[in-house]
Amino acid sequence: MFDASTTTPLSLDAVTLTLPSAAGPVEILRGVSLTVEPGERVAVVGPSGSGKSSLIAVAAGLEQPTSGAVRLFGQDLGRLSEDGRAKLRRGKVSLVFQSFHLLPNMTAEENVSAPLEIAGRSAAAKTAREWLDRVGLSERLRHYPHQLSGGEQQRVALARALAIQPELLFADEPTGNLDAANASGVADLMFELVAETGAALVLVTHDPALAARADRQIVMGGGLVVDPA
Amino acid sequence: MSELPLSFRFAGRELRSGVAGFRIFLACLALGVAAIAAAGSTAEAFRRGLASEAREILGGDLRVSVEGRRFTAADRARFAALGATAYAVASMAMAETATGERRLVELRGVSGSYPLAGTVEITGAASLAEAFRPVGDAAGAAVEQTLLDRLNLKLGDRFLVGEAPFVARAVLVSEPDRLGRGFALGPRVLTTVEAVEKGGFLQEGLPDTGETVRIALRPDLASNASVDRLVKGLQARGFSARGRNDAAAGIKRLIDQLEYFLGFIGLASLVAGGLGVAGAVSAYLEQRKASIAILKALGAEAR
Repeated sequence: MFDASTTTPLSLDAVTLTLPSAAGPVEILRGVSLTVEPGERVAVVGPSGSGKSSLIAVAAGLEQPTSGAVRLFGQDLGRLSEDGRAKLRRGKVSLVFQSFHLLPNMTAEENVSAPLEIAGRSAAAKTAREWLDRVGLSERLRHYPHQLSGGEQQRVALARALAIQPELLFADEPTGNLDAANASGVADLMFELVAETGAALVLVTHDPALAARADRQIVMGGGLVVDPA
Repeated sequence: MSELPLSFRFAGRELRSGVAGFRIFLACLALGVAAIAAAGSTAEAFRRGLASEAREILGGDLRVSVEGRRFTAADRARFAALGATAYAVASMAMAETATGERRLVELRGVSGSYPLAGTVEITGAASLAEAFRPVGDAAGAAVEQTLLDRLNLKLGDRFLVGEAPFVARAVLVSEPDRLGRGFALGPRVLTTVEAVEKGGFLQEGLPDTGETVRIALRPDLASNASVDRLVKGLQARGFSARGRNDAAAGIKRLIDQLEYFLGFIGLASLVAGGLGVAGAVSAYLEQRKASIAILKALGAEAR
């Protein structure tokens, strides 16, 4: 039975994901169960193609599972529409991607203030400027993503994710596109800010050192959790 | 900007990349709307112009013609009872100079009361009467400049039309009823009815023998309804008749066709614009898919 409490940020119960392809259906997730407690930092590791990024997409409600249940803060995502899932994420869930995914026509400040504005928070621009200062980009407020380096873009993405003070942060290979120096800086910043905000963290990474900084590691292989550690 | 609704703020930021994809669509819409508007307004302007100049174009309130014969005395008496009349005859003929230069001309003879409406513009003579005054055995005529140029004539020179001698006494610039008569195959030579008769161009049985009378109706017969009634009555008697309400039917048809044509071009442009809309919006959304996905991940709803 699935009885996660409403304060549990994330629970997955026997989640499967099968996607169509030219060569026939592909089973991406084959029955994943996982619970993340408030403030808990969970690293998801495993080889490429093991389903780590798909796990985040399903867990964040960006992708609908084929079967099983995903609960975010106690709410079954399967019962919510796309807009309902977006509304549930709003102000509570943030995502950081390997490819940054900043809005290309918005400045760094506007990118950070966007989720705050969507959530209807007051003084969004002021908060955005404060968070960009926290990540060392106070001189880059008016710069567009294409005017920033990869490390700077990821720091903007981190500020965007944390400025909303989320209760759950999904980070999918946040340092995967960065050189060693930038990767280390962004990782330090992420763990520092997550600790400060008390957000739960689901971190997908290939980096054993980064994964070791989490409270718990789960290992995925072939669409399954092979080692729940 | 912060007081604007969220969707407008985000749309404004998204539009910073410009409207390049929409240029063709906007151009098609502008062209289509402009063509339709231009077609309607141009055609209407032409129609109003024709309506205001109808009497001059026709040369009077009524124009009545017969082909293959002249009007009879009874016809003339009937026309005279309707108002002032001006008769005209015309024939295509060959003009020739003493040096052998030849040119096909439209020889037109008018009665002394011509024109009943508008004015005939001539240069080189003070009046039509002066232009028509004979010189010896040659009838006076007002001729178009193109004829003078083609035959190497100057004002005062003699030339023949058929066997009849004429002298060019004035340059014919314009006649008020020219538009209503359609195009001519050659330069016009304007003279008197008598001069054309004397040249032997109006014998019964010749293919282009005919006569036209223009009538300026008496005030009590000059209403539009009366003009239409008279036209129908004359047509019933076998005459070719036209009233000022239908002064230039050919031109009207041309305007109608022009309006349809321009309207069709406008509609075609709008259809192309519509396809452009689909293409431009689809291409724009395709470009913006990633941004839309990011906004949804940040918690934005569809509306």
